[in-house]
Amino acid sequence: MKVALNLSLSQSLRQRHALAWSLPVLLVSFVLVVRIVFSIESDWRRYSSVRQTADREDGQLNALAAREAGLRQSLEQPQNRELLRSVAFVNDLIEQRRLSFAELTDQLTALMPPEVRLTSLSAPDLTSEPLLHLGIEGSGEAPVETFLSRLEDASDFTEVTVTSQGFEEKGNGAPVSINCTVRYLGGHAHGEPSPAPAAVPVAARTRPK
Amino acid sequence: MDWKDELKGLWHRVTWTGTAAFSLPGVLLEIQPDFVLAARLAGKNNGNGGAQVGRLAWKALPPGCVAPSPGGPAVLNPEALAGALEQAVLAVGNGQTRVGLLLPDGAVRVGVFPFETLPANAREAATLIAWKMRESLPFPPEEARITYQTTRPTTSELEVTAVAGRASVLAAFEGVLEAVNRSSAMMLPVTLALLPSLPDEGGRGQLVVHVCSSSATFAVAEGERLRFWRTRDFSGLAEAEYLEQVAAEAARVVASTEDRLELPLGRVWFCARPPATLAWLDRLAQALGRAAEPLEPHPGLGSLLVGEEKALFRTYGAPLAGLVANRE
Repeated sequence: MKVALNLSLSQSLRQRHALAWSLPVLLVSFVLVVRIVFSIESDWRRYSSVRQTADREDGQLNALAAREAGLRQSLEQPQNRELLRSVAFVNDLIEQRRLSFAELTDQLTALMPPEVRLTSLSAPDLTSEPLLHLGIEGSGEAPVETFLSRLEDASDFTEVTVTSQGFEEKGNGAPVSINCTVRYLGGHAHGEPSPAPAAVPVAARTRPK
Repeated sequence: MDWKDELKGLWHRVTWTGTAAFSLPGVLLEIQPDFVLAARLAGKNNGNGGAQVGRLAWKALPPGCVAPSPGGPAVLNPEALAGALEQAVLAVGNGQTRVGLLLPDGAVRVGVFPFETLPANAREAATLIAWKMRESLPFPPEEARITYQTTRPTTSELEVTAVAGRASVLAAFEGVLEAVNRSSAMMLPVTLALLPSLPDEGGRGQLVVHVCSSSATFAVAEGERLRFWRTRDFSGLAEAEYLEQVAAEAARVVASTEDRLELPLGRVWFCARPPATLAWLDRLAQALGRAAEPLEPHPGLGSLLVGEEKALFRTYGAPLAGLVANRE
């Protein structure tokens, strides 16, 4: 009689294939470990290089900071304080030296009486403090005078110079027209006294009668 | 059925694992209440055909170490059992981890059942067989580990020979194997291993009486069919009473076989381990009214053994010889 019985449990899928798969899994794991080790080594070298660069940059920054501190200390000396203030003023002017025609027009028209109007406005030179060329027309001499007075008194403008003047009657009913130049200080003196140094000359104005 | 039973049933379905097909490992171990036996097979493919017993070792067990019982617990002293197994395995000198295990017949239940049909699904078939065996099982059928083989006596009949063991009992034996770094590839009750040794007697039945460690198993085989199986425990009896009980039970089996199964018995085989005296054979023949022949292992299977191991093979090697014959 043949016996085909067996009370032992059949091996599970895992048990049957564990040995067969162990070697490939081991190899793949080994390759991954080697890859990770090489990656760590490569990353470490890169990190060291970057760190050296960062340290070098830090050293340079520290040197520059030390130099700046030295210079600042030197500038804080009493004999250099006035120079520092001038430099700060110039730097401030440079910072604020942005010409806005809209703002400029607003400032000019704010100075004008109702009988005066602006006929031309140009700023041919913008490299330094802009010198403006203005064309003004008025219904009479008095309003134009008023405008020029206000222009001279305004803190944003200086060096008002009348370049031409006419009194002939025109078709548009404006008996007085003048052309003048004025130097625009850039609006930095709005609402506060201008920190301009005393060395800045105030040009004499000529106004032909 | 309350939720615990439902949960238990669900767990059982999820973790169900079928039994393996028969295979003959290169190392065989036998556990009996009195002794353990280890054998290493040698020969072609290490046991897969043309095998012989290459080494054999026997170790005694202290009393009360193993108590074969289908309901368990069967292993009462796992440390002592593992120690004896370790010694036996080391003596036969084989490093194979998957071994064959022969269990005491009393640790399992064997039965033969007619069926009209069986489910194709192995789990469903095992469940059905366990349900059929439920009255003979001293434990809930859902706790049974079932192995079965089918025969067709006629074209319309299906006969199932099934072996059922309580999962916890079998796991206890497997746990002892794990303690010696082994696992079981084959597990059978020992008397089943004797049946392949029987010669072909045509349509006549053959009774095998296997006496071992104070118990006796009576099996009737007819060709490829197992027709009858009974295991009796005679522990605590004196030898004379033991002999009388075995003879009386054998007589009842013969009568039942010939009357109820209507199967004429041709030969009666007697296998006693350790070997019985001639008085046993005479008493058995007297009780049955026919000669009882000793069932001994084929000497050729033990030709590689020498000295004490050769004698050991003649004394205890009949189930091993049956397993080798089953594979060939």
